[in-house]
Amino acid sequence: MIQLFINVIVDILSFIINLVLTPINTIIAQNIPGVLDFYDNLESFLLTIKNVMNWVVSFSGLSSQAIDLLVAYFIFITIANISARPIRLFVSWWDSIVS
Amino acid sequence: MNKKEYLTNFKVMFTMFICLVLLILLFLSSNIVHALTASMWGTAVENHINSLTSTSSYTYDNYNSDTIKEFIFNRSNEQFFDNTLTQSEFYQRFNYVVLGYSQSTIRVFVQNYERVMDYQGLNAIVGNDTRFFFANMTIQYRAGSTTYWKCGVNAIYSYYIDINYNTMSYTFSDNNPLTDLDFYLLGQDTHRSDNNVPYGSVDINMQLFDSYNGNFSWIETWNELENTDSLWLRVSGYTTDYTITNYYNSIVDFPDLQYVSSGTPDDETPDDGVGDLSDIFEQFLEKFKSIDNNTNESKGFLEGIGETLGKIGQSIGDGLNDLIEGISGTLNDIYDWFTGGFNDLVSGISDFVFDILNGIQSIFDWLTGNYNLNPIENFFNNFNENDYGLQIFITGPIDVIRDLDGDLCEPLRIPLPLLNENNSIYLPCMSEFYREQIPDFLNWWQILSNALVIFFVGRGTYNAIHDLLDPKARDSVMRGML
Repeated sequence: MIQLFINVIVDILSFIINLVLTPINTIIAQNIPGVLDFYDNLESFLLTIKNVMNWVVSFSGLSSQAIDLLVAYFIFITIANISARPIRLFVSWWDSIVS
Repeated sequence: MNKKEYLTNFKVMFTMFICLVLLILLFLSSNIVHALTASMWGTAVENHINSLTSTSSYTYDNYNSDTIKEFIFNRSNEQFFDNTLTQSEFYQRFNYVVLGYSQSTIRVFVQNYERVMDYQGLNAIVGNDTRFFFANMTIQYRAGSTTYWKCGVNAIYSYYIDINYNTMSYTFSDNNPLTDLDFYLLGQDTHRSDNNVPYGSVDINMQLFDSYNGNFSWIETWNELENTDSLWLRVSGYTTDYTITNYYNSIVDFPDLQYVSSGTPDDETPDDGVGDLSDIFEQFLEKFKSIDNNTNESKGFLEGIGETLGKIGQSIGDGLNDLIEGISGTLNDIYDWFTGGFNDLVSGISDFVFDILNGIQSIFDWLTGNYNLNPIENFFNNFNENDYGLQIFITGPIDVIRDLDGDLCEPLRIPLPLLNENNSIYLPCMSEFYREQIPDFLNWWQILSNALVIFFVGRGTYNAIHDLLDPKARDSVMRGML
């Protein structure tokens, strides 16, 4: 169930981020396509980390419940951080305009 | 304690410590000597056995390589096949390696490895001998499906023979006959198009073994299967332990449907409502196309949008009704709410969201395929692109974290520089190793680590929420991780 929650939240977040960044990506792809190679390499690197991380996690001997809890926690912290910044920014702008 | 007593105690403890160290060294040295001796002796025997496959007439004691080879064949043929196999047939299917030895005995490990692939109603068979008739797997498909999937089975049967050097006597040991049994789906078979495939369950027809305790390993890319509606077999785990007994010549269903979950024939019954959002979008596209053929684009588009929005509203209304009914229903049974209802609720919401996303994507796909949208073509093409882009900096690490699961660990094979693949470092999954070797310690460690993780997560979450609600805090949420 936790995994399902995480998947839904992350997919929605990914969709929103993709939506926002796609025009910028398009501009980059059309004007400096070499950067795409960098992205691809970065993706490969993350994929490698992903493959190794499961082994590292198995090495720790943690239970699957503990891993799920940790994953959910880090996802929450990350998403809360990403979400809190724009809200704070908006509030500060609003305060500036109103005052 | 005065100084003298202190020194006395210290001497006693020091002496005991030295004795303990000496005992440990003695124990280790005896094992090392034994291991070295065994290694030397084992190498000699292994070299000899390796030479058996050559054509040279290498002589060892009172017999040569052909003698050994023939010996293994004759005894195995006699033991398992009632002398029905020829020697060439036997060695096509079996190979042997040295498993162990003693001062007067070599142990020859003989194994059969078969990989058979077939369509539905697969037969994995070695000759016609029911002794080695391994498994018969049947996977049945959703009615009306036009897609078959090739399936296959790996089966390894093994035994070992202890051969005495001096007396040429031998003993068979096959108390652990089946070492591995893998089923796998190979992929879509495009050569079959029978639309009248019956419903059914996943059956395994075992005709060899009186009992089997071991691993059934499903090897297939289950994500692919899950995304198709043609096959209603879904496997949600890579490796599952099943215990099946007493099924000689009988059909055995998988005992645990948790791992072989499936849809049901009722899945195909159309809903009374307006249908899924994906259906609505498909209808919209069809409508859009039909209108567009007769009128101008803008009118067709607007009419289609209006009609679709109406249906979406109806669908959302239905969904909310279901949601409310689900919540009120589950309040009557808290246990169900925790076990099943909540899962359904989350699944429903996630399906709803993904249907919307897929619908939007299908509209964009259709638009880009039918209209000249050069100025923003790349925008639509890349709309749902996750492979690269700036988002890799944000979503990439999250994906890494999301996919963490020790139970999905695969053994690591790290290639060494300047050496071939066979010389790579092999690291098995430690979770399996722990379970097999130190289960008690693992239990205690998991209890302890669970407590630590709960403490860490609880404290961090509290800090994060506390700082999140504090208007004076800056970048404070990340402090929750510390």
